[in-house]
Amino acid sequence: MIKTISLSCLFFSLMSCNISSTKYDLGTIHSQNELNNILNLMQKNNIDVDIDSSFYYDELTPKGMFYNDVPIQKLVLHGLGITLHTDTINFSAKRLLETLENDKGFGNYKTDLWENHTFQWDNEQENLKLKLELAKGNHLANIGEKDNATLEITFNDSYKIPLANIYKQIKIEKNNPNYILKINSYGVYYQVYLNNLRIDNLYSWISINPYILDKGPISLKIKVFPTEGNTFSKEDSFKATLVNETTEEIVSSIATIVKKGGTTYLYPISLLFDKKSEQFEINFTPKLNSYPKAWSDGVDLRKDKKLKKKIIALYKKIGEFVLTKDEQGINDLFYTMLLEENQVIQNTDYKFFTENWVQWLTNFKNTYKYSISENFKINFNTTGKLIKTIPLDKESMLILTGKNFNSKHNYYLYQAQNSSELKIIRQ
Amino acid sequence: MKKTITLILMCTCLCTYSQINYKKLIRNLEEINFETDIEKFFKELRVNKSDDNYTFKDERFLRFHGVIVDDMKYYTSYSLNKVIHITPFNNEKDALVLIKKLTQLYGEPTDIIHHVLSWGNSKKTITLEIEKNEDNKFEKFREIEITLRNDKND
Repeated sequence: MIKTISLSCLFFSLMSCNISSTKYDLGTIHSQNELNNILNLMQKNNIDVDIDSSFYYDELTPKGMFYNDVPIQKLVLHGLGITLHTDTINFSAKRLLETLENDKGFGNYKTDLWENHTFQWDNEQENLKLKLELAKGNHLANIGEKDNATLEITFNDSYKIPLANIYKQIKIEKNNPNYILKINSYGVYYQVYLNNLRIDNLYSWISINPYILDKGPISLKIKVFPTEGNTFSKEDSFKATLVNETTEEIVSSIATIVKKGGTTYLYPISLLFDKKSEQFEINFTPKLNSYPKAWSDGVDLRKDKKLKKKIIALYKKIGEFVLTKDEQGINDLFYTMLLEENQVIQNTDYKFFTENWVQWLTNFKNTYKYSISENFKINFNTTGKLIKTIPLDKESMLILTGKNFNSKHNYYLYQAQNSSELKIIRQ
Repeated sequence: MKKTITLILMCTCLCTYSQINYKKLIRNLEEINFETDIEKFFKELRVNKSDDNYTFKDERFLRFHGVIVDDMKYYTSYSLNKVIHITPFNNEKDALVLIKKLTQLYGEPTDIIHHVLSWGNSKKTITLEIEKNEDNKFEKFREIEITLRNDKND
């Protein structure tokens, strides 16, 4: 019995050895460097073929290419990575799909208008897109001998700067509430205030967590104004709801203005037509698992006579770092803010942080001058520790300018007790 | 020594076999009832959720009475019933299999309107709509809809 088991195990081991002895295992390629190593090996073994890794859409067909244990017929270089083509024999398409699923779990599955089946896996190193080309009339459920597949692998640029790698520092806490203010409106504009400080709202979903420092209670105030004319019209509508996205529970239905004669009402209802504006306010007690330090150790800036100079100096610092392409300088200015903002919403999406850093690299590349607002209004929160400036002479506090390029910047600032300089703490 | 080698080889074998068991992941949609926790039902698979609507499109894992189906949607209707909407493939053989199987299980169907057949009991109704050509032959499936009711309310 033991002999039989040993023999069968030996057989499987030999099978494994056979697989590991393949000449070009393309499943081990996760970066441009690793690709270059395999291409160099291919060139060494195929002297009469000219392999040029810088040439886009170069097609390579040396014998002995595998992705894990699945034979690959053709490798195409496409500049950002490679595309691998299976043959239509030996169930290669099915085996490639299954080897990827066993290795990486089930991918994001889609079908397009032409009924092509695609599976996608993304991680910080690479994006993999498997496209199945099924024989005419065949279904995915019956994928088999005559079907084909292409695997497109795109390598992601990796950046060592800490600002691009914050996702590795985010701690995941189960059941942490994620407070979102959801607004539906028509014919009106609105301003949102948290503890008396206006929160910028580019979108109708406003994340509240980054502005919560303690158990509160937190004052949430919304001012609503008509977009056209001096007073609300009967067509105007506005609804605001504070929800906990983690549990999908409504924390509070803050405000509902409905059309005159409307039949659906939520508490509290205010029919305020012919009024010039309306204001809604609630106090709520957040229940976060932990609270960010943020501006809690800040000083009261309301009596700081040098405040205007300090604000200008900070934006000048950003502008100079961009002009001199000072990566470490930008990293140091924004690291704490980005870490705290994303910790409170537990954002671990590596793409978000990579794109944010790529945006700074774009700013470095394109900017040849910057301008700073010198005429601005300063808004303070209730404690005076957090400020936001509203420029009166420019579109933004800092504008980075290049050829057909501009990038606008305005941040929430505070000053720590042991410092004489302002720091960026929210955006 | 022999024992050690055998153990190492045994481990190699176990590693080789720690793979997805595709057959075990097949979901039979006829097993869903009003009380079914749909997220648990599709556990280990990637079911898409948007509000209270669930969609699942990987036909490798979808069967309805043994027939492969293209995709499924699951949602709560205005009348608070649970509804499963199934897209089958346009295959006459599948239609005949389903009609035979459902008739065996629930008896002769009710012909609600032309080419719309319905089976069911107090807990569920299954509606199957077929499009036929001028010669009264199967042209294509229109839809299959399963309505699941909370029997306790009846």
